[in-house]
Amino acid sequence: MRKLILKVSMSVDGFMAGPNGEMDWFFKSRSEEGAAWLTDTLWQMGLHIMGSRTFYTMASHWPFSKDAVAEPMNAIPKVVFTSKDKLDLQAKGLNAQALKDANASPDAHTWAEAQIANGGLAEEIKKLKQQPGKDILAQGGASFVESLVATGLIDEYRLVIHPVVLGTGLPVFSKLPKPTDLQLVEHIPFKAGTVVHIYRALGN
Amino acid sequence: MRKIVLDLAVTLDGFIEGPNGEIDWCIMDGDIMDGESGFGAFLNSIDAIFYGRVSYDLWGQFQPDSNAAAAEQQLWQTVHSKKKYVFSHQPKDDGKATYIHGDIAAQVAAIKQQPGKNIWLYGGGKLITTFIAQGLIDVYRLAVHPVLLGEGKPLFSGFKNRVGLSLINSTSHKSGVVLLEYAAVK
Repeated sequence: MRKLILKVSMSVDGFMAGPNGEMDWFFKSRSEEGAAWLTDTLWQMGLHIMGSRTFYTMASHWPFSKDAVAEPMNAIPKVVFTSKDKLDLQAKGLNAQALKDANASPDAHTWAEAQIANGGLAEEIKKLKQQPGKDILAQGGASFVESLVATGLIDEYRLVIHPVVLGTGLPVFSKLPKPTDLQLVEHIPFKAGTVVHIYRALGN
Repeated sequence: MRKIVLDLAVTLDGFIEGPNGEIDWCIMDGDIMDGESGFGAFLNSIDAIFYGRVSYDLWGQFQPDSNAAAAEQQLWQTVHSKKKYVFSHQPKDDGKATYIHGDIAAQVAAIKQQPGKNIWLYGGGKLITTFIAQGLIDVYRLAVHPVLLGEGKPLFSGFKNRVGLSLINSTSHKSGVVLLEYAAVK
């Protein structure tokens, strides 16, 4: 069965952003090594799930980005968790034409083809896990991540720990339903001072 | 100049104790003493320990059971060979520790100026928060345990400003514990 994998960059004290969504601390310790690791990680995934706000932000950015990371971000199919019946890229200024633009990635159509999940979060996740394919990735936004942690359905955590204590911010683990033992699968320090920890959740 | 080092076990979600003080998740065996970054090497690198009052009363003169393993006995002997300071508003004179109260920053600065090895900031939580808030910690050694508790006593809470860090070293153990060593960036 497919796994649900959460990949987040976080501070040493477990925040994925400052209290108002600040990410300056994240950009400060970014590195080529980290970007290469992220690109490799993304190519391992078969599906990218997210909330609608993150979807619209990403759909207006990734089709036109030349970063190496943009390739898998565009290529991997998306499922958007929303209470609505359909996505409205047009209303966000992203019509089909813009996505076919010469400057856009040849995979930009995946954003227009994103599927919707508008049932209960846990049920939809369980359904997606039953489908064949490579693993399911979630990266954000912050409230979507909190809700996912609350379901107890995350199988693997891929955490990029940045060298900073934020003191306050948007937490990753605050809605954890019960204590969870983890198995450390991999540990990768980067020269820029960030460290990757990969954990499998036990008892799932 | 001597450095103040915080050395603590912490869960992945940042707790140093469970909601009722539980530390049963803490891994004490295995290779924790070994290697350049091990606890044994750390104890050799310090010659003084800072305690809060409650921590000192609980652990400052703790003696393991006579049935305890040799390694554990040795560990406590080593700990008790260090010079002890207790930060408390109620100075006592047990003859075994130096009590400090009043202007913490100034007194800590004075101790750091004295010749000697590094200083272990043992805890408890309140003293640690005070030291973090006043920027008095030089090195953070965090033994990140492979467990999420969901609730408990957080290591980092009660202060407003960010703490910039610089990664010194990062080592993983068979137990799944990752030791992250950071220098505070001032």
